[in-house]
Amino acid sequence: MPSSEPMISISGVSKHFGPVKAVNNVSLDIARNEFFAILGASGSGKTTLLRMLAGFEIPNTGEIYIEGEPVSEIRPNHRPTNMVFQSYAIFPHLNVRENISYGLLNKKMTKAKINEEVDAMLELIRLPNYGHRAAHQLSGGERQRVALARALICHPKVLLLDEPLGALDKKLREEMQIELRQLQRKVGITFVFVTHDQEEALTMADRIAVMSEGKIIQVDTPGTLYETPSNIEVAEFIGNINLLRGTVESTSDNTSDIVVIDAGQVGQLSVPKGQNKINSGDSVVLAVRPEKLRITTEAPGNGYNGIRGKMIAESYAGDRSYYYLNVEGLSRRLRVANLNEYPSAVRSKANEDEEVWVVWPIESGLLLTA
Amino acid sequence: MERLRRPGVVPLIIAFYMFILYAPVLLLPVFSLNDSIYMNFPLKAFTTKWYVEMANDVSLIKSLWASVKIALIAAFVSTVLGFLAAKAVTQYQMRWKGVLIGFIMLPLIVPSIILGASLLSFFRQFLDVNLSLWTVGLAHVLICIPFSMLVLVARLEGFDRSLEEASYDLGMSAWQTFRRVTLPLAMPGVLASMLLSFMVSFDEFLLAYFLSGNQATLPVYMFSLIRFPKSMPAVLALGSVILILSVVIIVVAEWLRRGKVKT
Repeated sequence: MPSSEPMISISGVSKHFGPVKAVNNVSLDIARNEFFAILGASGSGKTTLLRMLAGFEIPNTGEIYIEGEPVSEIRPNHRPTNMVFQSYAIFPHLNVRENISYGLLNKKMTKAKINEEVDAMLELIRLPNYGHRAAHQLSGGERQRVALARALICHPKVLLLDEPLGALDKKLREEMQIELRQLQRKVGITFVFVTHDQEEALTMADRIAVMSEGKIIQVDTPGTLYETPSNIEVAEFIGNINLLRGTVESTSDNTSDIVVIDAGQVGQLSVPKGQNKINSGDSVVLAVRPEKLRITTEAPGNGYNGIRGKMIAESYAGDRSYYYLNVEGLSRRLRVANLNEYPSAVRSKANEDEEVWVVWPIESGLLLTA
Repeated sequence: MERLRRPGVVPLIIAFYMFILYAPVLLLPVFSLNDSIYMNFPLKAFTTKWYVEMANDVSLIKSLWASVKIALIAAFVSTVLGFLAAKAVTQYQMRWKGVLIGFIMLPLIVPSIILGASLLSFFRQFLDVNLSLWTVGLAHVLICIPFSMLVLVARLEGFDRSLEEASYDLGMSAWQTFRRVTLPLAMPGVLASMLLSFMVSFDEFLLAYFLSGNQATLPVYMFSLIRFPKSMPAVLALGSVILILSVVIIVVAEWLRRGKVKT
């Protein structure tokens, strides 16, 4: 997918609102035909960044390039970008057909040609007989599709989506996640979307930029971001994770080597060293996802870490169950997630207040510098 | 409280209120159709001659046209200015917004007699312009703006900003966006503002009395006729016509104002 010249190149862009640095020196390349997510909590600057791509905000410093062309001087109505707004912004005084054709009114096109294009769009969003519906007759999902069609009919180089699924209910959201992806593949346009929903970002995007306090803290594929977050902030923002603090006991120069850390009362734990450059005595964090952990009554074997904990709560979520354990020397409860593969596995293997082992393969852990 | 609940009492009170409020007004059409120049009972005979007399009174028709012209201009100008102010107030975060709105609303509470006197000295002594329908029109714009502003702020509030951004994003210029999105969505408010301003200007007496030159507006002309019993019935006839038109216009304006933006 990614070709040599990026579709979008954001270079040292900052945007201030009074004393607030909404976007702080962000640099980022987005490839042609990429489905790109900007993920962050509210107030992280993600929407401001998207609005700068659209042209609604002008960067204070830095420059944005689309296909190598600087666009800061170009107003929204002349940019090769179109936007799907969070509220969808369907024009209430126009019907579906008029909404979708809106972006073509300024182009020198015959009525017949416009109708043809609108029909193709209605087909694409699978609402073929909706042309004459009034805006207020549409459901949330239909409004979203109309907003998509209205933007796509302009054949933008980049489609910008602001929290595209935020206004939909859960079931519809899951459907639209898949549908949006298929649509993006079909039209072959670069999609950039903003979301605060990590699941949305993980399921839809080719790559994700995680934003926090106006800065991008990591850009990676969903898999890399989830499995090997580069810092604690990203690790905690995406999914759930257990953090075990300790100091490095032994180390070697080889990157594939295992590091032993002393986690105080929790005991000695092993973890792959990864790309970290560390020395003995450094304080580090062993991060491990809840679903990598298993609860057993037996001590761990070779190649496994194990810690003792007391079961304090479990919560059943249908497809999986979550178990919470108190571990001596750990300020936060340990979280374990198990898939309920068999009906018998629905109940936990341990009772409340029971002392159990929590074990995980050494290579499932991740070493982060504190 | 219990006593009031007895059947018949509440309707009676309502009827009494209605009588106090509307009986004097309803006398207008009644006497305008009565064959006598005096407004007293018993009624004599049914006639429409006062309406004919009204139509034949050249100065009356001239003053009617003067008022209509002023009201049209005042309605248009105050709606344009009110729209701009309402747009600014609803769209932008600005410092001193409350103070600004307060100043625009001020003509609502300044007594007309004070406003009239100060405008008179402003036009005559300060600017040294001759009094005419233009000076009346300017004064009417001043007092109509608060009404326009109130109606239009109500309409533009809750207006989704992203609608205009979407239009802009889809390739329209600022002017095209205004024409294709902002104006159509604000239209009920714009019409309501025009109708309301028209009525405010049309029946305004005090400022017109102070500021009109040779040509009187209708309220001023009517006031001058009241001294002569002979011309009273024609005034009543005209009053009845205006009364009915006013009710129609206000009802239409209210109806338009209440239409909400469907989103």
